[in-house]
Amino acid sequence: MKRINRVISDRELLMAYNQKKDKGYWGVLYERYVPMVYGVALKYLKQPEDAQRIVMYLFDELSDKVTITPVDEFKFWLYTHVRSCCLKELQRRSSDGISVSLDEEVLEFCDDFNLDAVRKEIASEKILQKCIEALPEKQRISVCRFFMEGRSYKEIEDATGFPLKLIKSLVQNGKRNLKLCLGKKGIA
Amino acid sequence: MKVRNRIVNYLRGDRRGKEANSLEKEALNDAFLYEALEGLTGAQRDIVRDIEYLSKRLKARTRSKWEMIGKTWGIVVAVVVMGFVMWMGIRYVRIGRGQQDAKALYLAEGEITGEEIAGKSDVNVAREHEEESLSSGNPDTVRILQRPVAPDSSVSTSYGKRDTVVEGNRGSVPFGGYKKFYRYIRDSLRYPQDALERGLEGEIKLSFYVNKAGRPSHIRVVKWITYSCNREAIRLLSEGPAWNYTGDTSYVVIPFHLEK
Repeated sequence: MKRINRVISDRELLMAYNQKKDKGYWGVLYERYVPMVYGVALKYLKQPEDAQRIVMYLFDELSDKVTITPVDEFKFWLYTHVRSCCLKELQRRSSDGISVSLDEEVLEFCDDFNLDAVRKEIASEKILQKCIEALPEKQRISVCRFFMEGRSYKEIEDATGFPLKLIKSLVQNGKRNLKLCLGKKGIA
Repeated sequence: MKVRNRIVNYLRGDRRGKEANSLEKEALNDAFLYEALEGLTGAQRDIVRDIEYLSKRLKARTRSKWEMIGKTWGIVVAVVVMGFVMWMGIRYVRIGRGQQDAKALYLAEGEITGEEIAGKSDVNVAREHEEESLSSGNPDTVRILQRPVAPDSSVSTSYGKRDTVVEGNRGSVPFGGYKKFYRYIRDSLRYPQDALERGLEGEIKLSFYVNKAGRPSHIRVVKWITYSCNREAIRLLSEGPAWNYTGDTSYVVIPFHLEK
C-alpha cells in the first residue's frame, strides 16, 4: 500500500479496500473515526477500558461487514453500528432486566438546519432578528453569542457564568425555537 | 482539516475561539459528532493520550500483516540468493578476478579455433606430465618446461571455422567455448617485444592440468617460440577463463601472429 499523501475521501478508501482486500486501507479509514467511536462509547459505557475495547472490537467486526454491504454514507453507517454495539453492551451489563436505551433526543435536535445560510440572505435577516428577540432571555443571550459572535461554550460560560451543560441546552433549544419561528414566517 | 484532527485540537486546547465554536456548531448538525464530544469532554482523563494509544494499536494490527508478508518474501529471496551464491562459489572459486568479467563480453563468432594433430612427441610429453603431476604435491604451481623440441613442420594447423577440440584433449573445454576463448586471447595478448622486433611468429602449444576449481595448473610448453612468448602464453592461459574439470591432461594452442 502506497503512502497516502493527498486527502482521500472515505469513499475512495472503501473502494480501494474492497478491490485490494488490503486491511491497510480499512485501517486508515477507521482511524479517521477513532476519536468519534471512542467518544460515543465513552458516553454510554463510561469506563475508558470498556470504551477502548469497543473501539478495537468494532475495528475487527466491521472490517468484514463493510465489504459485504454497499456503504454509501460510511459515517452514518458507522454511527449506527457504534450505537447498537453500545446498546448491546449496556443490555449485557444490566443483569436485572432494566430496559436500557440510548439518548434519542440527540437525533432529534441534530438536524441540518443551517443558521448561517439563513443569515446570509438579507431578506430573512430581519425576520431572524425578530425571532431572536422573541426568545427567552437566556436562550437569546446564548444564541447570540454562539451563532452571531462565534463564541465557544467555554467562552460563553466565562462571560455569562452559566454552567456548561446549561449553555449547551440553551443553544440547542434556542436553535430549535428559531427554526420553528422562521418556519412559521415562511423561511425554511 | 480532517474532523479527527479538529477533535484532537479541540480536546488539547482550551476550547475557546473560532475553531472551537466551529466544531461545536458542526456538532449541532451531526449527532455522531455531538455524542462523541459529549463522551470525550465528559471524562476526567487525558483523552488525547487514549486516542493516540488506540491509533498505535490499530496500526500494529494492520502493519503486522504487511510485515509478515514482507518478511516471508524477504526470507524466500534471501534463501534463494544465498543458495545461488553458494552454488556459484563452489563452481568458480576464483571468479572474483577482474579478467573474468572481461571474458563474459566475448561473444564473437567465427574466431580462430585451434586444431592440431598430436604428434608422437606430444603423447610422450603428456605421459610424462601425468607421471610428474601424480608425484608432485602442489597442484597450483605453474611450471615451465622448455623442451628444445624443434618446431614440427609436419604439424599442420588450420584456421578454419570449425569448433574442434585439440586432439589429445579429452573433453576439457574453456568456460564459454573456444570461440570466446580465442577472442580473449586475441584481445589480451601482449606481443613480447623481442619477438616483435625479430618478427617471430608461430604457435605455442601448452599442456596443462585442470584442477577441481577449474583453473589450469601444471602448465607446460610443448611447442615454443621464444622464452618471452612462452611466458606470455602461460600467462594468458592461467589468467584466462576456467576450464571444466576432467582429470586428464588438456592441450591448447595459442597463436602468435603479427599483423601484415
